Parts: sequence; C-alpha cells; structure tokens
Amino acid sequence: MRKVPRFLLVFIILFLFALVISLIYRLRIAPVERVWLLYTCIKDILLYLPLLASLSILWSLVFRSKNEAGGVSSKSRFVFSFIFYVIFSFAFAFFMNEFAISRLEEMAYHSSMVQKQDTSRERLTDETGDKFTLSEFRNLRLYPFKENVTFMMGRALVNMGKLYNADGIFYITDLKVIAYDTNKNIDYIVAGQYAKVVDNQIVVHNPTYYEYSRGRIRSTKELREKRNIPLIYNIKGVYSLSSKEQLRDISMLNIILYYEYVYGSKINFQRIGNVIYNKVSYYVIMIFLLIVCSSAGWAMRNTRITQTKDIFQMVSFYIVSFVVVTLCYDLLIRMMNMIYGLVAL
Amino acid sequence: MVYITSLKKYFFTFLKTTAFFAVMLLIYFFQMVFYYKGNGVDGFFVSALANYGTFLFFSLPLICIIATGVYFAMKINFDKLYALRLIPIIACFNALLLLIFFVVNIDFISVPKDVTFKVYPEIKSGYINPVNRYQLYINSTEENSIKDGFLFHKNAYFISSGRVTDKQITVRSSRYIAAKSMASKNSTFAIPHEEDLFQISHTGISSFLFEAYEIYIRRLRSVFNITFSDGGIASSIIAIILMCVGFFSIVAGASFFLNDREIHLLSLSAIVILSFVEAILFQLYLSLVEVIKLGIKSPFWSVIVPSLLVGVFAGLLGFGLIQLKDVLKKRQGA
Repeated sequence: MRKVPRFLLVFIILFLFALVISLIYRLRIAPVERVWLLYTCIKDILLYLPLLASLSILWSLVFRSKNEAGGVSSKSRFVFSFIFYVIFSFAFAFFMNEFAISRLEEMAYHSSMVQKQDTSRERLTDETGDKFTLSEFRNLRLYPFKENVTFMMGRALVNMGKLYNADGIFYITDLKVIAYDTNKNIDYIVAGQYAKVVDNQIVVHNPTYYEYSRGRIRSTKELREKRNIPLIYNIKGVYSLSSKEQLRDISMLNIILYYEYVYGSKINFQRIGNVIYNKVSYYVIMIFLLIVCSSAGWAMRNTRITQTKDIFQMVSFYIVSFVVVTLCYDLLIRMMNMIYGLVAL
Repeated sequence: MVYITSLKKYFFTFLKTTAFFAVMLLIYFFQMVFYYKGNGVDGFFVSALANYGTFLFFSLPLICIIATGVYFAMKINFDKLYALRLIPIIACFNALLLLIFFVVNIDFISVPKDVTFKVYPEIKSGYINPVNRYQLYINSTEENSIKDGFLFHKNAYFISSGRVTDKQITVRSSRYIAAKSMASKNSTFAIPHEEDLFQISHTGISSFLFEAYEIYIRRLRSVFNITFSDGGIASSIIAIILMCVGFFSIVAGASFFLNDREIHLLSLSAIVILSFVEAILFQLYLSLVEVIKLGIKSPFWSVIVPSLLVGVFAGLLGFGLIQLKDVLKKRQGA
C-alpha cells in the first residue's frame, strides 16, 4: 500500500478508536447530558488530535510494504507525502476547532433549551424586517443568547442586556446606548426594552431619549415610534466574540473575520489574548509534532518487511511510540503553559 | 585498547540515553517552575532546576539499564568471547554510577498536582473591562480610584466613585438606567477582581506515568538503603559491584536476542520495554540479599556472602543466555 492511503487509513482507525473510547468514557465513567454528548466527545478528540495525527504518520512511515521500491524516487515521494500529511492534519484540526465545534455548541445549546421548555422548535423567519411586533420576542426563550454584551461604537457605549441569536436574526432586550461628546461628557442616552437588528441597524421599539448638556439632564422624551441606530460592526461578530460566562473558547476564524470589532470595540480583551495564545500554541505544537514524527519515522524506517516472529517488537513499538509521543505532546503543552504563567502570574 | 574504545562507545550511549531522559523529565521541570512561580517562591527558577537535577539523578538506575540494553543490542556485533570479557567492564562502570546513586543523599519534591492559579487582569481607563459577570467602562481614573464611568449588570449604573485594589474592585453608584426609566438609588458593588489563569489542557497520561515513575524510583532507593546500609561502606561497595555484574550480564544476554538492525525502531522499542521489565525486576533482585541472610552474624559478611551468591547465580543466567544465542547463531549459520 502507498504511504498516503495508509496514513489516511491509520488516521481514520485511530480517530474512530478515540471516538469509541470517548463515548464510553462520557456515557459510563463521567456521564454528560445526551444533547451535549457529541460536542463533548469531539472536544475530547480535539485534545488528542495532534497525538493521533503524529502517531498515524509515524506508524505509516515506519513499516515497509511489499510493493515499495527503494531508491531515489522514494525520497521525492516522501516529500510529497510529508507535505500532504502536514497540510491535511492542520486543515482538519483548524476546521474542527474553529468551525465545527462552535456550530456543535450552538446546536447542543438550542436542543437543550428546547428539551427544557418541552416544546417543538419554532423557526423564526425574518419576514417582518423593521416592522416587527413584540410578539416575536415571545419565542426567544428557545434560542441561545449572550448576556451583558457591551462594546464601544465610535464614542458611543452600547450595552445589551441580552442578545439573542434566532437562526441568524438577532434580537436585543434591555438596550442602552450612551453617547459621549469629544470632551468625554455624556451627550445623550437612548434606552429601550426591545430592539431588533435589521440590515446593520438596531431598530429600537419605543425608546426613551435623555438629552444631556454639560453633564446634566436637559430633557427626557419617551418616544412612541421605532428609531434606527446604525451599527458599524457585524452583529455576528459581536455575538460570537462575547461570552455567556467566563470565556473558555473562541474561534480564531471569527477573530480574523471580525477584526474591526476586535480593534474598534475598546473591550479589554485580556481574556481573549489568553485564549488566542492557547490556540496558537496548540497549532504550533501540532505542526512541531508532525514534523518531528515524520522525520523520525522516515529516518528510522524498516528496511525489511515485518514478519510474524517480530510480534514482540511490533507490539512494543506501538506502546513505546504512543507513550513517547504523548510525553512529547504534554511536554510542549506544559512548556507553553509555563511561558504564559511566567508572563501573567 | 579495544576495551577502552568499547567503554568510550558505551559512555556515549549512556550520554545519549541520559539526554533522552533529560528531555522527557523537562515535564517535571516546567511543572515545578509553574508551581513555584504561581506560589510566589523567590528564586523559583534555581529551586526548580535543582529539583529537576535531583529527579534526573534518581533516574540513574533506569538510564544504566536502558543504556546497557541498547549498547549490547545495537552497538556491537555478537561475539561470545568478546561479550563475556566486555560485560564485567560495563557492569563495573554501571556499578560505580549506582554506588554514587546509593551514597549521595539528596531528595526532591514530589510531582506537583495541577492547580489553577488566579490572575488579576489590568483595569484600563477608556476601555470596557469585563470583570466577573460585570462590564466596567471607565472614563477617567486617578491612580487606583475610579472617577467616572459605567457599570453594566442588568442595569447601567453611573459610577460616582470607585477603588481598584489587588483582589477587589469597589464601586459606588447613586443613579442607574433601567429599561424604561432612570432612577436614583445608592448602591455599592464589591466585585472580586481575579480570574482563573486559563491553561491549555494536557492529556493527563503524562501525570499518571510520572506518578508511577516517582513511586518506583523512591521505592528503589529505599530498597538500596535497606539492603546495603547494614554492613558499612566497604562491604556495600563490594556487594553492589557483585550484584551489578550479575544483573547486567542478564540485561546484556537478553538484549543480544533483539539485535536486528533492519527493523531499527522496532527493536529499540522492544529494548525499552524489556528494560522497564528488568527495572521492575531489579528491586526484587536487590531485595534477594535481604532474604538470603544465611544466619551470618558479622555485618560485613552478612551482606557480601549473599550478594556473592546472588551475583554468581545471575551471572550464570546471563552466561546461559549468551551461550544460547551463540548456539542459535551457529545453527542458523549452518
């Protein structure tokens, strides 16, 4: 068998093996709720993914197959396989970490909410646009939300009590917009209980308008109409980059896509810095392990086909390579943790 | 001359094995640095380094066993007479190292458990600072006191004054904006100003392995102390050399069977597994001396005579293994 198909085969077998182990662990030893099962299992596997990829590279490179010819051409073939391994593993890890896992989390969250409320899922469709009525807000309890979302928009401070994501339509309750003038004094305040995001504009239902001059209230108006406030950031970015509780995980893809929010919102993103450091370290560790494993596997590959009498050597190779690669992985993780600890503590 | 070259070759194998161990044990070093730094110990780097060195020193028996295995399986070609003459030399070299391991009395701190440390995020003026579940917008500050800003938690509170200390932020407010109205109310918030340091999670396999390994080396050291400390230093030196020659001839004899360079990495891992099995047997082997005391009263001879017996029997076992390998090789050749 050629190297690349063998690598994929070993990788898939290891992946399924890890999935089975994780399922057994999450069903029997440390049980989680059923709706969160898939998310938790994928999260477990992602922790072990650099290990699985490196081991499959090592195991596919070391063993010699029957129809394999030595010589000059095998080296160029190795370089091709090597590039394929690294790019494939990295792309797979990136896709799972930055794209799939956040989707899975949202899905699991929604399912758990639906399960709790004991109602079927009602899909909202954005037919009403900015002519929405308050009845739309009744279905919101089924949808995931972020609490206490706050950011700066130019000189205005925007606070949303709850920001709901109803299948791509965003609803806001308890909105407050505090606008400052150039001298850092309050210019005006807009407060409204219900709002909806339509075409990059926040449409506020019956807002209260407080006008300030020189730091004191000049007038208060309770408006009986809808008012539009332009939103300069993409609301998806605002939603995905804020956290329900303490921030644990964030998608790098969102940070790249919504960079203007990251830079402009004036949020002290110390926590996000920590998360980004961890993510980048994860990828660096992964690539480092892949390179080390593939070069070791290529340099010390077998020069003959293994036979039945080598069974002890084969079994011990599987054990020792697993332990050594795991130790290397943990070593690098601990090194990265230590470096961050030295800076932050 | 040929013995000097062989010994030099063995020494390099030993150094390579030590380097491998040094790299793997860096896990302990990183953990120690992190642990000391988190607990605010002065001179944390030097203390961690000292503990790491001691841990490496404690690994000496295992390094000796693996190096001997690798050397006899990989570095020399099998020749019965040459092997028989070389084994005592290598074993004596190992015995010297184990003697140092026995004599030097130092200790290290156990592998620390994983703990989460707290960090105190910086509160920046002109920014929105997420603290706990609160969002704190600070308009202007003077040193550690907040002059103006907003606190968001369900309602938006106007900050009239506030103070930032290491562990807590105290904020006073007299007015707030609710969803529909603005109201006056005096309220004080004491917000804990600390967060867990968020770390990359590790697989947990290394912690498990390290705990097992630490238990092993501590037990081995106590076995050494129990076995050899009764008879005084002279008898223990002779006894350790006698025991080592016997034991390492078994190690060498067993590793001759794994001499296969065509499947290099596979044989190497087989030797490692074999060495771990031998290392577990090593402590049982050492405690044999304690079992076979033979009722000798004199403390000097009560250590040496049993070790001589055990060493001779083990040496015979090793000789048997080499003889077997020789016979097998001749049969294969014929």
